[in-house]
Amino acid sequence: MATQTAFRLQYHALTGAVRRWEARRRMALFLRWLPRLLAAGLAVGAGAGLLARLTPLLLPAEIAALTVIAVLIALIAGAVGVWQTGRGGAVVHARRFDVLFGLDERLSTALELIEGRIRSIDELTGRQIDDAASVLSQVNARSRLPLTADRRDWLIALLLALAAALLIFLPNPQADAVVRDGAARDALEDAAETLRDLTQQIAVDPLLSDEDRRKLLQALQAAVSTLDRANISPEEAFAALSSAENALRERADAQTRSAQTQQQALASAAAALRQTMDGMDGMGQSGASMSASELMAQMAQQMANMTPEQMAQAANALQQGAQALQSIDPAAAQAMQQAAQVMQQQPGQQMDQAAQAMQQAQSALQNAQQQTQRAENAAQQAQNAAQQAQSQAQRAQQAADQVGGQSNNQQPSGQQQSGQQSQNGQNSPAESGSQSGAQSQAGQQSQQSQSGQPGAQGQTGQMGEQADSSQPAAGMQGQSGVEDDLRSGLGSAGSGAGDQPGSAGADTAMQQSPMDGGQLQASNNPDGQGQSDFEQVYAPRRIGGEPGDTTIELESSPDGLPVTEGEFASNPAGQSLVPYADVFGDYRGAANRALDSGYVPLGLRDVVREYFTSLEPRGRGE
Amino acid sequence: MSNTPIEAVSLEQFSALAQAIEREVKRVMVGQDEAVRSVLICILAGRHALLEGVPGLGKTMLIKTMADALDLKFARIQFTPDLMPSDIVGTDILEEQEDGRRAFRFQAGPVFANLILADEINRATPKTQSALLEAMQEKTVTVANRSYKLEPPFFVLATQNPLEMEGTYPLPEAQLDRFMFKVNVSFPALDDLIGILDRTTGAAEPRASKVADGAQVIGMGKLALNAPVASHVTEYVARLVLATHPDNQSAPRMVREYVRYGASPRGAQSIIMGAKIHALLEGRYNVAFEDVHAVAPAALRHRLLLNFEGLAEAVRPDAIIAEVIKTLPRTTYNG
Repeated sequence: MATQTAFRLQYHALTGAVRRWEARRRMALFLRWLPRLLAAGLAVGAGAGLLARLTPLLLPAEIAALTVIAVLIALIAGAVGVWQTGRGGAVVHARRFDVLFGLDERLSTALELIEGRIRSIDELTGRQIDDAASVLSQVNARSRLPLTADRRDWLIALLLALAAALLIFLPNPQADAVVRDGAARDALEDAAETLRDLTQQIAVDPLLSDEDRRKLLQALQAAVSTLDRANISPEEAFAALSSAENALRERADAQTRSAQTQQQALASAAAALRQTMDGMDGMGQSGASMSASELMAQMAQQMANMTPEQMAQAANALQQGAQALQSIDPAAAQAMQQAAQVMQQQPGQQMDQAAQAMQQAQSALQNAQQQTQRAENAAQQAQNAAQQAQSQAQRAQQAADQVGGQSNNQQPSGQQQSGQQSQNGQNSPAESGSQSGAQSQAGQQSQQSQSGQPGAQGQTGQMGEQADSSQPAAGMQGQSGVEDDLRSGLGSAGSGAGDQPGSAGADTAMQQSPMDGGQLQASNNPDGQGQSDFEQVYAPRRIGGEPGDTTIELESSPDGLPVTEGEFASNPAGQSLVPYADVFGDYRGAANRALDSGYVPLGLRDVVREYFTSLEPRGRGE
Repeated sequence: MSNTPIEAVSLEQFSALAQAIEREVKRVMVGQDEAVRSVLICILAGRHALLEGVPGLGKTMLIKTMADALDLKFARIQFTPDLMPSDIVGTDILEEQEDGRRAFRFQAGPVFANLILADEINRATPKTQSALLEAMQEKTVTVANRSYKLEPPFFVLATQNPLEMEGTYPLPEAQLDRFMFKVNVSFPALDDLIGILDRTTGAAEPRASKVADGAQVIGMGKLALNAPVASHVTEYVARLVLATHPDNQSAPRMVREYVRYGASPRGAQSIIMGAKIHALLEGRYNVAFEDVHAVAPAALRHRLLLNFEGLAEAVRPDAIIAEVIKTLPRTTYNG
């Protein structure tokens, strides 16, 4: 019993020592890993900062937050890991310290003996436990488990912290692109939400036929599903929204036309009645703003005072009104026709029947007016929906422009021109490749600035503005930012309007035509419904010359103005052989068809219209 | 046969006796400390040892010296191809008594001793070998349907020549397994060789004094086998033995490539018993990993059966055991 008590006391002493050592071991382990954990978190931050400088990924504040989170996660993971290594009871810890301190399993054996896990004779047990206690008393845990960390680890952590700070807080040229990407994402989300709302509205719209509702819902749902795709590009979003807008716009236009037709019919009927009323003596003057039903009511009230001639006139007016309403409301037309017949067959007699017929006609007219009002409301709603879709499409377009502009900024100067073309017109590669680089650049320059500053490029309308001084100022021709869009409708005809004298009307494609060996067809015929066969020419080729890249450099005159190169003897003035006023209508018509066909983005249609308005010939001389 | 009384030995006595035995043996044997320690461990554990080494390294001398240091009955059996089992265990001989009648009387063989030196055991035929091996395992001898118990302590210290020679009969694995240790007697180093020359070429031949008797040896063994072994050390030994099996997951590459069969449970028993005695001989009261590592090669090297590749490439079992010890984690810290 005394032996057991002594063993128990020694057990507490041994386990107490083990607990103290274990706490110190964990602390030492954590301190040893602390700089490494910090380095791991800071490496994440530095990596993110570096990545954010290579690609538009995160804002500086986000990278800083990410760094802090990474450091915290690393510290927590390290603490958990250290804590995990300390799991187990005193015997488990004792085994570890037997190894760490070179105790030759004295400690763990003693604890197991006391705990009864293993057995031996008393003499050996006592000697072993005494031996373990004796050895433990000689262990210097502070020297064996120093609370220090490697200086190299701290140095690495310090360097990583410095690198992360520099990468995070130095100005990042990609940050603007990140902001733009975020705006684009928000725009797409808003657009999708708007389309969902419109889908819900259309699903319960009582004014829509089932067929119209089905078509609209189909178009909207297709657009929504496109917008909901994870990696949708702004261009795709714009196309989807344009498609939805087209569907809504068609519906709105149809409803507007229907409402206008009904309104015109009612107005015609009202005009006929008003004319009759105004022509009758003693009938008083009808208000100019009175509706057909009100005029009918007034006519019914005064019917008793009508002379037979006036009755005949009224019946005639009713017949005219019936004819006007026949196309939009056969029921109202029939009621008015019946009233007219009653008044014609029995003038002055059976006034009750006539009044009843008039009343029926008035009621039918009121219904027709209400229907017209509803149609107008429906048309207005449809217009609003289309407007919303258009607005969202414009936002998506802006987002696409911003993203495209950002990507253009990243391109080398030699690739700037193709990027601009694609950005401006949402063109296919074939379309964007149909122009020479110098011409496109020149067009953008002239549009960007009336002052014609060399080397400056710009965009108008939805394009936003950007400048790239790396682009050389080449050429003097102007070109609209929507020219590429027009090309889709005009074929390769194109139309250029430069700010510089002598360049108006010079078409870039037309200029290419002679270099292209005459393969450019219908270059002056914009009636090709936007379809034109032509060979894409990327490199200028001289007539009769060998194919291949040729650099054409215009010499400068002594006064600094560029001079043209070539033989212009037959046309020394450089004027178009076809009068401008003769061909302008063709171009404008082709542009209008392109606008109606939906090839031109909604947001750019006004630009196109304004463009052609500005190009309208002012006199015969043009 | 009378039973040798067991003398209780204290830890202090154990230490003193062990040191005395080693000291006496080392007075004669030079440069074979490890072999001396291994043989002593086997004797204290009451098990048998197989000594292997080229001729002339002192295997026989070691065992004879050990017998000199211990006050035990010693017998030497030189194994030859024509050695018969009866030459080992004894035989019934026809003897004429005083009254003229004749009767069979059992003539005990040399196996009836405490310490047997089975010299060049692999030169005898398997039949003769098995006669000794039965006595080693059962510690009894059966002649003419009569069993005779061998007097404890009973140790067989056998030697065998590693070289392939005409007329040798290698011990089967099952019989090798009965030896606790296989002790390699290596060639002495330069200093040791000089010491051997100094001691053995003079007129006076050194001899070991008797410092312990049989009862003390048994008592020492009983005390040593009570040495505590921590559970994770026991587990380590079990994992160590399992790791010598090529189909075990923890087996290292060498085991998978060169070992056909791994060590038997007797190998683990031998390690634990040897480690306990080794710990006490080192002045410790518990078994440490160091003790396991110290005795593992001797306990396992004759229990590893090499495959064709191992034999063809002359892989040493000691190298495989070292690889196992190197790759096997000491503890899993899992409680």
